[in-house]
Amino acid sequence: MGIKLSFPRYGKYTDLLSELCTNLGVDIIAPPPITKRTVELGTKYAPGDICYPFKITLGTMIEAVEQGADTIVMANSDGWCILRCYAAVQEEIMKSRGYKFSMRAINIRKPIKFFLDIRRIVPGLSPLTLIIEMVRFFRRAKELDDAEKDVNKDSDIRIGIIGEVFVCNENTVNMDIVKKLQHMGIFVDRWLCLSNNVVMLFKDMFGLSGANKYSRIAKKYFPIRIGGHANENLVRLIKYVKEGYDGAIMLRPFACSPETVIEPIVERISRDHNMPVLNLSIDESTLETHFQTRVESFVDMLRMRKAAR
Amino acid sequence: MAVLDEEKNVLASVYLDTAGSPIKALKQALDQIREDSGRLGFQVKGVGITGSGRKIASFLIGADVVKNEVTAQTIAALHYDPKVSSIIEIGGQDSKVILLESGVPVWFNMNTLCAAGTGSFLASQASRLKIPVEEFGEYASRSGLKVNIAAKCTVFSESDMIHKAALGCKKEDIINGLCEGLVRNFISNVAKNRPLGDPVIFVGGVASNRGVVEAFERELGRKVTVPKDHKITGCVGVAILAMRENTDHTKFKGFGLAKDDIKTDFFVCPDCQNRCDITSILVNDAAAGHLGSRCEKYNEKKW
Repeated sequence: MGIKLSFPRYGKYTDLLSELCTNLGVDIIAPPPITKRTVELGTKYAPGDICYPFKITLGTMIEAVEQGADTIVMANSDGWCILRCYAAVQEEIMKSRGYKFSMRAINIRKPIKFFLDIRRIVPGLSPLTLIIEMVRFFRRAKELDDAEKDVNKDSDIRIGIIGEVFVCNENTVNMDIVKKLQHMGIFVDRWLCLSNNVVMLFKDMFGLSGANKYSRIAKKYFPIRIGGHANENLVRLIKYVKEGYDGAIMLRPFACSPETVIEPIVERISRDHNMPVLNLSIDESTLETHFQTRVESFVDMLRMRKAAR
Repeated sequence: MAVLDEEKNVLASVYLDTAGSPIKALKQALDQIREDSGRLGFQVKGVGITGSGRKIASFLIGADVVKNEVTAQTIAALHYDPKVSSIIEIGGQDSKVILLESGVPVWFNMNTLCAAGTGSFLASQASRLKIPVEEFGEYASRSGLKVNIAAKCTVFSESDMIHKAALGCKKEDIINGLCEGLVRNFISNVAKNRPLGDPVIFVGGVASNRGVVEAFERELGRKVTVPKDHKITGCVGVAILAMRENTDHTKFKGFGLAKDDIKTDFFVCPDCQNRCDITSILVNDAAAGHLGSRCEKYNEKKW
């Protein structure tokens, strides 16, 4: 068929995603790196108030098509948050600007749709092949995530990262905060890492999440089910408290609705449990120096608190 | 810029408005301290640098400690009062709050979006009203009527002040309203309505403004301490940290900076697809340091 496929970047897992595509027999254009130009393109063509991940993924799509991709793949979350509209709106924007390509949204919530959406790109794909490649992909992602959690395992300071899934995974957008924290000698647990994501998606697809997944304790703080990973973040934060973490960092795009809604709830949990949480908002105007100052101050404070105990 | 002796007394200090040229201001301040060192006969044994320009300043001056402002202010406040419980800092373009328990910082926050609650806004309003910002306190104390001024955003705040003036409100009441609005904004948006325990220390340039100090005291229902050196407490804090380093050989590059030719060079690195924007600081045409590199090519990747 000879399509040239590309897709938005997803942090250190981008190469794994490329490999997955190649293993399925698809020719790809490796997603170009996220640079100043990517951000400029995305911000220029995206609706002004939209969440940052939309802008970044749009920018990458445009650059990929400029570099010769004729098919773009994007996740369709079919529910959670504005992510459900990304593919459709991005396609509309790009086509109205004269970019010629096909948008292929992949449903990541319903197993049959997932398979059928991928088979549209890989004609003749068998379910078995897909399962084998997904397992291979998951294993590789897990290796990367386990390696990340291996760093500074015996550190006296442990920080948990919560927030919006894209900014938690795309290191060019989060100022490579995990590496920077690790350089400071800190143990970092990033619960929204891809291997955890895949497990959650799998459970969700096959109805294994369980009705009482949203713990009673978190419900006390926020009784409504909302989008993104907002509710899950609250649960995970309380777990971080229980596991004796020294602090948590919340990474969110500036205009992300679910994360904005839970921000005061996170503040409340932080106060109630005496667990410092650093709230960092990210968008095109975020300056690295501001980020760095806040993270450095936060780490200093955690060290001073620990030393006093 | 400040110089402390071994007993942590401030021997000399310079407080300058960078006026858009921070490197020029740095040279000026350094030159002043050079004169002071000649006159008072002190030697520099350690250097600490804080503030948003700390990285660049460290390339130019050389530093033993380069630390963020939150930590610097915490150390300074503890030096003034080991029992300090709340630190309010409002500077030219940022504001922060630090809460402590038993001498340990337990929470802090810095303002995120807007300069509505900071010194540059007060200065711009002072300029518009043609009243020196140092006299704000006097004007506010003469206020007889409570006037509510929107304080969340500089644009709306100024609009509101102009509107109230058009309605016939007196300058004294408007200025007082502005000070109170700033305090309200600080307490709800920066301190996030967390209780500010006693004793409270207020530092930063805006602490010179009696109108704001008294508005804080009224809002908090308690006395707020403004140290004599409130403008340079960041320097004091980072100097104390440099003292703790106790190095035999300071990284201080000497006072020569005032005579040096300093240039900034901007270029795009072509070596990979990232095309990072690199900023190089050149002292007498030699690179003293770089910023903006995503890999280790131009600058360290550690923070």
